[in-house]
Parts: sequence; structure tokens; C-alpha cells
Amino acid sequence: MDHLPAEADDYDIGSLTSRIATVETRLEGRVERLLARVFRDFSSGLVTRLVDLDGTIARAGGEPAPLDTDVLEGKSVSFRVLPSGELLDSSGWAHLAGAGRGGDLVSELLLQTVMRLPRDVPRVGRPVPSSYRVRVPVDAFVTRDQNWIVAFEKAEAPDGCRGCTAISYRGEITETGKDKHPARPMKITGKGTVSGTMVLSRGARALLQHDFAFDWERTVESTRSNGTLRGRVKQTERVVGSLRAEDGK
Amino acid sequence: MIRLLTTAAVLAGLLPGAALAQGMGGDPKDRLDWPGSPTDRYLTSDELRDRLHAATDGFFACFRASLRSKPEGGASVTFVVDREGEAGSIEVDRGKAPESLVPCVQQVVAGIEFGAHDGDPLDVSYPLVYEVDTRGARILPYPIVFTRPRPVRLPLLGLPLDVTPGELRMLELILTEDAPAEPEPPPEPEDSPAEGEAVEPASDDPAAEGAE
Repeated sequence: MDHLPAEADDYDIGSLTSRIATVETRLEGRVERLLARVFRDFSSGLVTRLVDLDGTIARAGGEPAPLDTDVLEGKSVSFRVLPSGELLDSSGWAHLAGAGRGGDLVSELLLQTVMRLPRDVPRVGRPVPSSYRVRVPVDAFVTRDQNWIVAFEKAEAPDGCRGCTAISYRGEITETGKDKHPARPMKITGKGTVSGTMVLSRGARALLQHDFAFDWERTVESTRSNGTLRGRVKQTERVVGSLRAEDGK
Repeated sequence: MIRLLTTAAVLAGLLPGAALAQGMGGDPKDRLDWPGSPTDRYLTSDELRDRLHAATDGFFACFRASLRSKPEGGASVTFVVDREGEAGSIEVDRGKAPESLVPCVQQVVAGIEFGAHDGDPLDVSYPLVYEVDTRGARILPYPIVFTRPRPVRLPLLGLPLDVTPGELRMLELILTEDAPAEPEPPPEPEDSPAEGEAVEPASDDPAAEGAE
């Protein structure tokens, strides 16, 4: 809590922050992806679902406790992507958005399922720079925009992975977002670093493995009806994830 | 300029009329959340309405069997569509219609296949508007299906999945609700002004608190 309004004096902020300030959540499960539609520009409509989830939650370095993931089970997001991984559109975020819905836990993972590829195959010592925007249309009131500036590099394929190509990437992301709902006027600004490695099968022309990590620093500000600052919360988030193709395909 | 216009005219002639009509955004049916789009795994009120309208014949049969001489009026049915796409907790508000209408409408709604979806169970309310004339009762497909929207709370703030309702409410009260500040009595002036004389507002007026 970086800036609190006078109204906060009436509440026990200490107990609230002790519960929500330092939290580590771990999720495991399967990501189902099905091709639902091919558009006229040959982009694909992909439905990406989260299933068989299991999770734990730990507070302030304490022992992890089981986490009820029912609210996330079976939820899906639809992506419209070009073969290069360029994200043209997405929908379904509204069903994950909001406190207690878990969308913030899985949004990076879901977006990484459609990680875009560099325009050229990187060679040793010749990274391929790339920059692009990612828009997350949460609902009619909330949108989040990310600017990615990354460099792709050739990486070492895992031992024993025949016919594999590995590409690593590293870069910076800036994020802005706004909640235009009149009852909760808020905005978010964020800055983060991202790194990851994708392992692709040349023969199967498929992604075998994708490991990634994000380090975010976000600031959420709420405003009063006259446009002045009401509250400001600064959040630091580290997201580490791994996607692996089943049966190595 | 003439060459430019000629080029534009030739290009316009090459483009199909439909493409020009779509505009820069493309065909709206290409949107992922276009109603009825197979890409979307969530039920919308438009999709619910289409399925309920497709069952109009069933509703019509119920009303024709139950009503002969009642005046025109309204009834409604409420139900919950679970994630398997089946309707449950079906309740019929029959209005002035006879009791025999209730099980018949429940049977019709239970028979509708809404299709499996990835969203939360959906509370639905659908008005059944009917009128009675010399040929019996007629059901008029209602153009709107009512669903209960789920409140979205603090969508920009990252919060633990197991945040309690009390913690969430406290955060909302602190961050988002512009509760009017309690008006405080103005400080007692040393020299009370004469009756009817204007008093300058104090600098720590709670009304000015918002301008921080």
C-alpha cells in the first residue's frame, strides 16, 4: 500500500496486508488447446482451456496449503493467431477477471501458449530483435496493453532431443491498463522483464517445451470521482512457468 | 492527381463489394466473441435467446393445451444452465395461467440443449408472453433473455485466489468507493459573525479532502 486515502483509517490495514502482501501460489495442470476455426486470412481460432488443476498457496514464507482451484477449472480463452504466433484477437478474459477468479495467476501462461516466433531463425551470435504489442481486451470496461521489446537468440537444444531447435528470448515489457467502470475507476502501469526458452521440433513442426519467467513491478492507482488520486498500490510479481507438450509431440 | 484517382478507381474495382462494406475492421463475424461463433466457449444471452426461440413451438403447445379463455398476459421461466449445458432449478412464474402450464414448460426447458460451456453456471430468466384469441393461445417469442451478470471486482489488482469476501470488501471500500466524508462542524470562530453574514470555509474542510 503506497498511498492510502483517509478512509483507510477506519480499517485494520495491518491484518489485511499481512494476509495479502506476500503470497506464493503454485499451480500445476494441463492446458488443452483445440483448433476451433480457421479464418479467411488463414489465422487460427484456438480455444485454450485449463484443466486438471492442482495448486498450493503459501503466505510470507510459511508452509504451503492446498488451494481450491475450482474457480479456474475448465476456464478457457480464445485466441486468434497467425501462424507466426502474432496475436490478432482474444476473448474470454472476462470470465477470469476480478478478485477471487484467478485470472491474474494464469494470464501470462495463457498468453505464452501463443508466443510469437521471430521473423528469422536466430543464428549463433546474431540475435533477432523484435517489438510488438499485445492487447488483452478483458471486458467492455477493462483493457490492458503490453509493449514487448525482446531479442531472440539461438539456444542449445536439450540433450537427446533429436531434430530440435531451441530459441531463447529476453526483453522488457511495459504495460498500461485502465478500468473505465464508473464504480471502480482505476489504472495500472507496469514494467517488467521477460525471459524464456522455446524448444521446437523441426520434424513435427511443433512446440515441445516453453519455459519462461516474468518479473513485474506494477502500480495500481484508484481515482476519486473528481479525478484526483485516492489510493495507490505497488505490486511486485514473479511469474515462472513451463509448458510441455504431452507425449513429446 | 488524375493518375492517383485512376489507380484508386481500378483498385476499388478489383476489391469485392463485400470487402469494401466490411471497412477497416474486417467482417464483424470474424470476431472471436461474435454471437454463435464456434471459437467462443462461453454462452451469451444471444445464444441463449436463439435456443429458447427455437423451442417456441414447445412453449406454444403448452399454452395451447393449458389456456382457452384466459386473458392475454405474461409468465416467465427462470433456470440455471450448468457447465454441461443442461437447464436445472427450473421455476415457472405462471401469472394468471393455470397450474397445468408449469410442468409442461419445465419439460420444454429441460429438453433444450444449450451446449457445454466453460463459464460459470448461468442464471437465466425468460419472459413467456402469450395472448389468447379465438384460435387458442399464441406465444410471442420474447426478444430478450435476462441473465444475471457476475460482478467483476478490482480486476486490475493482483490478489490471492483465496482472498476472503471480507478482505475484498475492505479493499473496495478503501480504494474504490467514494464514500462521502462525514461533515464536521465548522470550528467555533473567535468572533461570531453577525446573523446572515457569510462564513469563509475552513482550509481543512472535509469537502476539499478529495483534492489531494
